[in-house]
Amino acid sequence: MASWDRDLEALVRTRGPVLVGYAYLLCGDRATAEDLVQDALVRCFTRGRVASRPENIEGYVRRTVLTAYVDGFRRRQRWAALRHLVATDDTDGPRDCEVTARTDVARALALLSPRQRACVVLRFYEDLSLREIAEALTLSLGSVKRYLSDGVHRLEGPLGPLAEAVAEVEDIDDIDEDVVTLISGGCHD
Amino acid sequence: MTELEKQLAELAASVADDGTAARMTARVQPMVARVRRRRATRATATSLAAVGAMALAGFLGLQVGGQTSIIGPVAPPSGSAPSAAWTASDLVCGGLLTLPPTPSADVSLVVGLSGDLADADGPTASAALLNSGVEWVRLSPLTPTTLVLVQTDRVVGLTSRPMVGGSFPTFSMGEADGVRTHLQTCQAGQDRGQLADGTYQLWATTTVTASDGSPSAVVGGPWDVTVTDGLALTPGAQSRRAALAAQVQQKAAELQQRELMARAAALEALRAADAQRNGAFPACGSPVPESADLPLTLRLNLLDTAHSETREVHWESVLTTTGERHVVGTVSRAGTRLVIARNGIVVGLGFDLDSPMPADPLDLSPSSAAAMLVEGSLTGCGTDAGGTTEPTMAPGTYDAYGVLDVTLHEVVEPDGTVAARSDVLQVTSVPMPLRID
Repeated sequence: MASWDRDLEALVRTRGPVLVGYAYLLCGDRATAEDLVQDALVRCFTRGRVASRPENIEGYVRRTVLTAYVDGFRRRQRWAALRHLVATDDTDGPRDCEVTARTDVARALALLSPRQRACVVLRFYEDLSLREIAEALTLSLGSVKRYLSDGVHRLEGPLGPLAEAVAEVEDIDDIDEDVVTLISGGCHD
Repeated sequence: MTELEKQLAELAASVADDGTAARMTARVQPMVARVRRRRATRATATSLAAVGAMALAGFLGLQVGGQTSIIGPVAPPSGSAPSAAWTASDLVCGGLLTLPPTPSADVSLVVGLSGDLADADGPTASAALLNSGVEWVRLSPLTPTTLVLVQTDRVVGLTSRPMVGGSFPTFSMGEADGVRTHLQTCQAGQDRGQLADGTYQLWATTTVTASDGSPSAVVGGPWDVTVTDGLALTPGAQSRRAALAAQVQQKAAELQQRELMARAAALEALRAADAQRNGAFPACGSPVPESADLPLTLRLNLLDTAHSETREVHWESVLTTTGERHVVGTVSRAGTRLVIARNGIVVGLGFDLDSPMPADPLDLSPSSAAAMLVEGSLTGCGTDAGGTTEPTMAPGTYDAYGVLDVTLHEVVEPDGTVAARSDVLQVTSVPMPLRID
């Protein structure tokens, strides 16, 4: 078995469920999330560059999952990217309070547009800065901030007030933007 | 951690249960197979041939080049008819081997024998499995590969062990792997591990599962082996290695021919599409048009900066609107095509080996962008009519353009003016330097 085979197997065994969880937040459907992760793994390992930098494998895969999701699952699977808008969640189980809360979050996320959803997940799950989100999604800083603001406010409908999140979007990202401005200014000097 | 962060983390964790882990683990082998197929398909004919050749030569060359080789002059396997497998009862040391099977055509076993006859463990036999003609084959670890040394139809040496480690390794076309083990000898009048001077024939057999799911026996041989003077180094080792390399090259050439034919078919399809444009850009030989003021603009980000000829390339195209416009349309199913030009003339193209994609709706506001990851292979203009010659692109730096066709539906100007459109817009990016080594 080649080294990349082992890397792939180890990554799936140790981080597969976590990657699926990340993809699920993006797409909102468990089966699609597993497909996204599988597709991303195949694409990363096909390129070969991944194998030479094993410490970055998971990062590559996460980035590829995000790209595949935003691009509509390589464009030919657009339906997969939109299915969560009409599909019922297959994670329904016992209706205790915790499960109900999770279902509410899942349904709230389904109300967001794909880019709003990606921005929210990258900010509040991946803990990326405004600049990193902009780079990952090839968007301007202003667009990311607008998607985040719109997304969080939309989530407040079904989930109730999210004051901390709203404050974080409005305050912390101002700092990010200031830093970016300073860096940009420094580069031009 | 904010409440939203906590809720998202809990939601993600709720998906990552044991069932997810089990399903993803079950997908590992199909993923490995997909990666192997994609790597094999996307590799160039040259690199594909080199992989098979190097794997095989690297494995067997090492064995044949052993210190006291007793392998005789290499003769290519004879015949190409479907194999007839031995039964287990046929393969008994000291028994008669009355039904010599014929070698397989698409999956080859190449065998060699080397070693020091003073080694109590016996001479070392090696076999390499090369998939030279089918999409993929799978080798079960439960099915051993058996090497058989025969003299005048009697088995005088036998060994049997699995070829490779791991579970159900998959061999894509052009891939090879091997086994190396001591041969247990049982020649009358000879000690264990010893062989009398003389001429022998070496065979190998194993069972693989083909891409259609059917198991089939693979037989390699006969390979003539001449043992001379026991421990003495058999003269002509270089010529044997050369002969083995020649056979490997023959296999590589066959692979190259198959791959070239597939590439030629894809190229012809591309040319046919270009021909419908009556030689207009981006057809081969056409001039690159001057940039125009369009409502859309395309930016090309090459994810790799250096490419050998015909190798796979990865690039990203980013489509945005110009002049604060809002554009609604449909992106062509061909996606972004890479066009290679030199001195303003198209000299090469990139095409994706994947199946065509459906047309994609486009709704771009002034602040948004549509990014597309595009993968494909480069090919030069000017293959011969038969499509059997590798397209040539001289090493050097070229201009790479991204070209995307968009059928416009609606363009909203910054002042709110809406224009209904139905024309096809060909958006060409600014050139990016592309170096071909």
